[in-house]
Amino acid sequence: MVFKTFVDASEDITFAITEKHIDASNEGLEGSLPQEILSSILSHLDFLSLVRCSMVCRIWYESSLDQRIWKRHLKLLWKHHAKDDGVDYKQKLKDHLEEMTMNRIQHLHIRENIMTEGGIFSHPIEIVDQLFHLIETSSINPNHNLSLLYYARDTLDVINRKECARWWDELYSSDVDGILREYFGEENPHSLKETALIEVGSYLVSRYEEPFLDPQIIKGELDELAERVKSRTNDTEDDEDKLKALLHVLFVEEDFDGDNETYYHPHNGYIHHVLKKKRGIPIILSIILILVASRVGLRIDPIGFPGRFLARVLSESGTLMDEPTYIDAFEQGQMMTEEECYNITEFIQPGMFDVISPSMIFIRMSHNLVHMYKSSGSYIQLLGILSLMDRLGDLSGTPMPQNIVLRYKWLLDGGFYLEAKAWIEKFQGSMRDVQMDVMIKQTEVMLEAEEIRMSRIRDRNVAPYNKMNLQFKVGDVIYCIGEMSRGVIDEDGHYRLLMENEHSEMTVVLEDSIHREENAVDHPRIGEYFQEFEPQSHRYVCNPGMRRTYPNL
Amino acid sequence: MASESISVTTSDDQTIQLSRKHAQMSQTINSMLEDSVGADQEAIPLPNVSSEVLKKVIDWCTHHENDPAPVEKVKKLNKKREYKAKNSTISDEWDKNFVNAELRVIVDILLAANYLDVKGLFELMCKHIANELKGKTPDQIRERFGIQDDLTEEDKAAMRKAWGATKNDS
Repeated sequence: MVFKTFVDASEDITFAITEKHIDASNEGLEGSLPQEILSSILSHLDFLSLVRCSMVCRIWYESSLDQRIWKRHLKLLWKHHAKDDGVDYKQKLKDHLEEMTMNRIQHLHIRENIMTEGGIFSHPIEIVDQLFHLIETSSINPNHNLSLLYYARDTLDVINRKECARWWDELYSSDVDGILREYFGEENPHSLKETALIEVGSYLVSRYEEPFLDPQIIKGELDELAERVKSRTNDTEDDEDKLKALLHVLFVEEDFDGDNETYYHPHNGYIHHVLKKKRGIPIILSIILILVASRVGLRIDPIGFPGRFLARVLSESGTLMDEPTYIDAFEQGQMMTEEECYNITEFIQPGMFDVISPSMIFIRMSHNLVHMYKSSGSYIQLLGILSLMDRLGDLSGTPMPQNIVLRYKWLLDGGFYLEAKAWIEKFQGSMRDVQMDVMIKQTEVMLEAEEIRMSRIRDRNVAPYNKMNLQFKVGDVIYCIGEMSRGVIDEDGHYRLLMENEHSEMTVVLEDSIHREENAVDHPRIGEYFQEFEPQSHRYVCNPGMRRTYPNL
Repeated sequence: MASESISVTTSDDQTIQLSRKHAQMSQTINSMLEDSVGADQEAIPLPNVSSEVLKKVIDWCTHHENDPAPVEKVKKLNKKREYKAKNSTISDEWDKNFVNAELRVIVDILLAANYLDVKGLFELMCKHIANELKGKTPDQIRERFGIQDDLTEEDKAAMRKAWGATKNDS
C-alpha cells in the first residue's frame, strides 16, 4: 500500500520522537523537540533571548546555531554586512561583536549577568571599584576613551540599582533592623522607626542620581546640623526651646529656603543636593527638618498636604503648642494653624492633615522627580525614576501597570524607538490587552518612518544637507545617533544634540564627525558611538563599532 | 472523484472523519491522497497523532479553512522576512485563545502540526513558545520547561566568552 510505504519511510524519525516524547511528557519539553523544530521556535526570538536560550542546554545550544537564524539576525542588525551569501553568519556576527571595544549588545549581556545571581561577576563590588577607578582615571586623562567611560558609567549604574533593589526589599520587609544597622551603624539616632526609614529611603532615592553615594555624606550633614541645634539649647529638655533653636539654625543661620526660581531643577528632589545648596522643594526641606529634629529628640511628623508637603509639631505632649502647628519648610519654617493651611492650597481632600507613611513619602518623592525630569526633557533619567516607581509600587502592594505605558511613551518621546519596541514586546505576554497591539503597531510605524528618513539620507543622490559641501556618506552617522538620542538635523546640516538638564543647545556637526564648538559636547550617550574628541582637529573619533559600521567616516 | 469525507486512524486506534478540505490543509495527508487517487478509500493511519490532539488540529483547520492557500502565503512571508523582523505577535483573537493551553498540549499540537505539515498551525505554535521564552533567563527557562542543565561550567564559560568578553576584557 502506498500509505504503508509512507509510514515506513518516516518511521525511523517520527517514532523516535514520539517515544522520547512520551517518556518526557511528565517533565516537560526535555528531549521532546527535535533540533529542527527547536530552531524554528528560536527563529522567532530577538537577539538577547536567543543568546539566553542557547545557554539552556546542549540540544538548545546546537539548535541555536542554525545558520538561518543568524543570517536573519545579522541582516536585521547590520543589513549591509549581509550582502554576500555563503558565509558563516554567526561567525561574522561574532567577529563584529568582538571588534567593538564594548559593544552595546555585549554590554546588555553583561548587564543581564549582573542582574542574575552567579553571572560573570560573582562579586560585583570588586567590579564597582574597578569601574570607579576607570572613571576617575578617564576623567583626568585628556585622551580618555569616551566609549569606555560611557559603558563603565552605565554598568556602574546597573550594579548600583541592583544594590538599591536589595535595600528597598529589606526596607519594606517586616524586619528592618538589619538594614537600619547597615545604614546607621550601631547608633540609630531616631527613636521612631518611621523616621529612620524615611532617612534610609531618602538616601536610596539619592542613589538613583549618584550611584554608590556614601551615606556618610547625608548622615554627616544632618548630624552636624543636629549638633548645632544642641549647642544652642544647652541640652535642655524643653521642647519649645528645642524647636526654636532648630528653626533658627535651619532657616536663619543656614538659610534653608524653597527654590522658587528653579523649582523644577532635578537637584531639588534629592536630599544630598538640597543639604548642600540649601534650596529645594517642600518635601525634601520638610524631611531635612524632621530628620534633624528627631536627632535632637524632638518629634515632628510628615504631613502629606496636597500641593505642599508640610511638617507638624505634636501638641499632645502638652509641653509644646496648644493646638497642632504646621511648619512650612518651603517658606523658611513659617508656622501655621490648621486653618491657615487652607490658604496655601486649592485642594481639599480627606486625610489632608494626616501623617504620611514612609512608603507614600517615597512615592511622592519619585513623582516629583518625574515632573522635574519631564520639564527638562531628560528621558534617560526619567526612565530611571520610572524603574524606581515600579519597584516602590510593587513593594507597597500597589503595582502600577500604567507605568508600562508611560515607559513606552517616554521611550518614543526620547527617540529610543528600538528600545520602545523591545520593551513593549517584553510585556505583550503578561498584559493581554488590546492596547498592546495598537502600541506595537505604533512603534513599527515609528521605526518605519525612521527607516525611510535614514534611507533618504543614505541615498547619496538625494543628499538633502549638502549646503556645507559635506560628504554625505556621513549621513549614516545620524542613523546611529538619531536612533538612540534626541536630536534634530537642521537645514545647515547640523545635527543638534539636546543636552541633558538644560534647555540650551549645542550645535554639533556629526555628519562628518567634526565638532564646530570649542569644547567637546557633553551628551550622556555620545560615548556609545565615539571614543574620543580631538581638540586639535575638532573631530570626534568613532569607536571600533562605529568604524566597522561606517568605514568611510 | 474522491468522496468529501476522509477517515483517519489515530495512535489510540480511533477512526476519525474529517472533511477533504480540512484534510488537505495537511500537506502530509494531501500528498498521501494524491498518491492514492483511484485506490480504495481506507482509513489513513496517523500513528503519531492521538485523537485528542487531532481534534485540536481539526478545530484549528476549521477556523482557518478560508485562509489563503498555505504554500503561497508562506512563500510570501519568507520573502518579507528577509527585510523585516518576524512579527511575533499573535494577532488573531481565536488563535490567542487556542494557544491558551497547558504546555504538554501545546507541544503535542506542535509535533502533530510538524508531522502533518500544517504550516500555519506550526508557525503559530512556534510563535507561542517563543513568546514564552522571551525575557527569561536560562534558569527560568529550564524551570518552566522542565529541562535538565547538561552544560558544564566550561561550556558556559566558553559561551559567555563568545558572547560577552572582548579582547580588552581579560
